[in-house]
Amino acid sequence: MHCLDVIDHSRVKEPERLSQLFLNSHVTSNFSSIQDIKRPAKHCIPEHHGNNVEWVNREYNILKVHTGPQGLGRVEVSHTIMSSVYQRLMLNIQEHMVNLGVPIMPESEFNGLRDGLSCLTPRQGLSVFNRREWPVNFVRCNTAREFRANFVRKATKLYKFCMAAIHLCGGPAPRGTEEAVTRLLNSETELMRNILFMKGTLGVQNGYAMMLRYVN
Amino acid sequence: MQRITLTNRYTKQRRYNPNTEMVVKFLPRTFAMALASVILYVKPVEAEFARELYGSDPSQTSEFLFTVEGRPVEPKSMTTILSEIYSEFGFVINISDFRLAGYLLKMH
Repeated sequence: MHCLDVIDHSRVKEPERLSQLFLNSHVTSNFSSIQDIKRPAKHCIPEHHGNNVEWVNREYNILKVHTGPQGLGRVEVSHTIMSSVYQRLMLNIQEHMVNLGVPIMPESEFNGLRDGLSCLTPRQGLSVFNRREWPVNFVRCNTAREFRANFVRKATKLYKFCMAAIHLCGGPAPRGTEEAVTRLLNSETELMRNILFMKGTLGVQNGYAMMLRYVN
Repeated sequence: MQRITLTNRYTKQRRYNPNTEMVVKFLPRTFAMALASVILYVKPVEAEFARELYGSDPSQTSEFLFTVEGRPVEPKSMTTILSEIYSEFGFVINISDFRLAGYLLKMH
């Protein structure tokens, strides 16, 4: 959902416009076969015997997921809830960066980042194309063992927030097992890293086809 | 307003072949700037500290975004980790259930 802020609106609006114009079950169009697929698919959701979700309202933007071993639990999920969690994750990420003593780069520096999208050489990635002196100086200035152990511990917490935020961005996410091995550098066996600088922002690439598609 | 998203290229496998189309999550710029800072500033420091404290391999620390004491985690543990983080924000849900909800909300 958050990707809507950074990609061209035509990529979002045009499929929606075409869908409403030709595919909605209420309109008359030549795409009746797709309409026929869509109509029962929509109506069967609440009645399906294996169904473990239920829509809360007629706008179909809030649903309850049946959870637990017997499916007796109910958890409400909506874009509003996900957006709220995302915003709080952002706050926590910023707070953790401050606690670690690490700056968040300004927009001007971010805009100047370099990446080689066609580079498949092992061990290459954003950190190699954009080496910084700051970490070297930071390591040199902070030698206390306790400080270093604390830094590593807090860094892991920071990564958890980042992974949770990535999971929420850009529509349905891949499985946790796939996200766990999000690579920053190209590897010998799996070639392309997962995080790339592209289109003026970072893109997380993992071949999961239900996300947005970027075509060079 | 009703919307529908047709998906017919579902794949459960990663697409490593760079000659095919890339499928990408574009991160909001504010988050992207923070994540870039993590990659360029935090990860190199963690690699050095974890090497000294825990004997972790710096190349592994640098290669993976998510590491604990400088080492990547067992992939199966990630769903639990994500669930725990969301729980901290009052959003208590199993990740597989959450993924299902994500699909349905996307469809509408």
